[in-house]
Amino acid sequence: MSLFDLVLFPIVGAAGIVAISSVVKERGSLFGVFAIASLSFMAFTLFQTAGLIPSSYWIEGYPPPLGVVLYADSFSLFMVSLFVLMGIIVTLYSLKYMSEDSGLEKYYALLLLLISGLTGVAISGDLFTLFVFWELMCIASYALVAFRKDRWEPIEAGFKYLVMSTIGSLIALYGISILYGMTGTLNIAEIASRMPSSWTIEGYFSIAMIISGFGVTAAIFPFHSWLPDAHPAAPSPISALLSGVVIKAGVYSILRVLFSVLGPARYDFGTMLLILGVATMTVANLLVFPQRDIKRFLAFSSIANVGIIITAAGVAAYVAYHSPADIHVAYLALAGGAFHILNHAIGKGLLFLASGNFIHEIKSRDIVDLEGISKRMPYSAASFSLGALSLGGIPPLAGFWSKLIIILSLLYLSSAPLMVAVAVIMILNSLFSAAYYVWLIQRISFKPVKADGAKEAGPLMLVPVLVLAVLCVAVTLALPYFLDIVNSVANALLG
Amino acid sequence: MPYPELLEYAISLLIIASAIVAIEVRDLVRTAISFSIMSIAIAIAFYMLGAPYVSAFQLAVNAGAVTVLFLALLHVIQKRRRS
Amino acid sequence: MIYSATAMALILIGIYCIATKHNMIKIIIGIEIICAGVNLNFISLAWDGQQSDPLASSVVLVSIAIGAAIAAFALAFVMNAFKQTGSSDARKLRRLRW
Repeated sequence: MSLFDLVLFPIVGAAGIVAISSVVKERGSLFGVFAIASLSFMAFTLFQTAGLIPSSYWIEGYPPPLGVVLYADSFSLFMVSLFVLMGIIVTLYSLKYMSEDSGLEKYYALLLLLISGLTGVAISGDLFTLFVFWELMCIASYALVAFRKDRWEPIEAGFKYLVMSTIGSLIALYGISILYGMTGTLNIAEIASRMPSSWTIEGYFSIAMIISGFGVTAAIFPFHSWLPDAHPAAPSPISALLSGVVIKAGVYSILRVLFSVLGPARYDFGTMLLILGVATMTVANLLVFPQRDIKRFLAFSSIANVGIIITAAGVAAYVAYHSPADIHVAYLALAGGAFHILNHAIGKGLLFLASGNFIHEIKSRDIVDLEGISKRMPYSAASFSLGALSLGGIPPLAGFWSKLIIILSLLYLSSAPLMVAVAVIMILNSLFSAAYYVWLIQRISFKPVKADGAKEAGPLMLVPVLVLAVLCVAVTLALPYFLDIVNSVANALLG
Repeated sequence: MPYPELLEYAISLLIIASAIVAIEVRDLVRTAISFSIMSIAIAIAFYMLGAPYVSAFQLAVNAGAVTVLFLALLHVIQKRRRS
Repeated sequence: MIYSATAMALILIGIYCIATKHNMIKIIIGIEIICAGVNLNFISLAWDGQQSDPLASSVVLVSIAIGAAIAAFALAFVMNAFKQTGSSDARKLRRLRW
């Protein structure tokens, strides 16, 4: 058992599904069960690896710094466990939700490739391996967004996603090539040790390229415009995966390259991240409110949450560069950001899957048509409300605590006027997001029923939603345990 | 000016010129051919920079396969438009 | 050094092409031009005057293959869009806006 098995299992599973499909036709659920089985093997490997971190592995032949290196610390394992968890839940949900579509062997194979790409991004130990897995992830997600290719919207949104995201990854590769030109290697640990100890102009140039390149997938403000089209156009389980974990892979890559490779003590990228994060969450929150399409509503809220995570990272980098004496605040902010990654992945996955239940039943994405649906679909609507309350930051649910940690870390630095301004904007944004989530719950729960014929979803679609709702509560109840985990994530990033 | 440096300038100029032609010309077949010329020029640049394998691969994939892919798509589109 | 400048010019040309052209095939050509520019930059940074670093060669080999994969994939999108609208004009796709 090694790190390589983590990425190998889903790829082998995907190949297996395609191989089986040439013998057994039109058995969608069989492929789904196969996919769940290979993801379970992956989860099992993950449990075995968890005790060994930080661990590294290189593919036979060339040792580092030349060869292909996989490296896992607690941040990588944190992300990989999120990917596997969401992967299993989404595959389970797809069994029923996608059962009427054709070409399901491609669907499940692409789903496994997507999980494999995400995992590879999280555990790669050199920047080029990261880029290869990044493209694997991107190509699988383009295909999944446009999976219902006989319809109009998915093709359109998928093409837009493809163009913007490909430019983003190529720009990021350009930034990586500049890092290569500076140091002559691509291994993350080697670059960090060969980097000149003071800042250089090429370093800042590559920072700008990497933030804007990976920022396209992470949906940071000027590059976010593909997300509100692509996420609603995808089938609901894929929307849950894209909003829950794929944009987090963008955030992960930004944080990994900036913190582990370039180092927050050498380069002042904190201010840049703070401005981008604040702009992202403000713009997205303002754009959430006019949406009538429930999936667009949730997609804009995803952008706002990425803004919060980027702001947390910005605070950490700012502190590490400008006032190293307060370094404990940087740990606090990064822990808050990592905790928000967890909360948003679970909460947004829950919201998209529950809204998938509604959409599957009444065939409409308009919020007006969803009014009062809780009287017909009580379990889905209750889970939806739980996720909305958690993401809206209503205490005592988990989303409240992650936002509180980030705001507290901002208020520790109240001597710096920039931090106070950011804290004020962030508090206003949190109140605003709480307001629109409560408004959404009110529309769904307390209005007179619009869709009379709707029935509660079947058990195969209800169980994943309920599992995520239970996880949402469990994160709140086991708060100290999860705080320990995110603390070790912050330690892994800041060293 | 020594000879190889002049050659480098000439090839850079060829790369940029054919890239501009590729995006500005109206006829899509000429776009594809111009893209192929750009790829060949880049392959020459790779060879001069001491990476002969990359150069061969660039010739085979970008100047060959991708261009053929573009031309095939154009052909299919034109056929459908006529019918 | 000359080739690094050329690579940057190629990237700018590609971005300009994607921002201003309406034909989907031209947009894909723009993506491929950016990809070629990035590859050229890698190889030109690996050259120290006498020899080239094999690491960059292996990176660029994979990168060329990825670029070709993306081109093939994007052309499949164009094919599907053409089946639905009968044209490869991205303005017909702009109901969603960039």
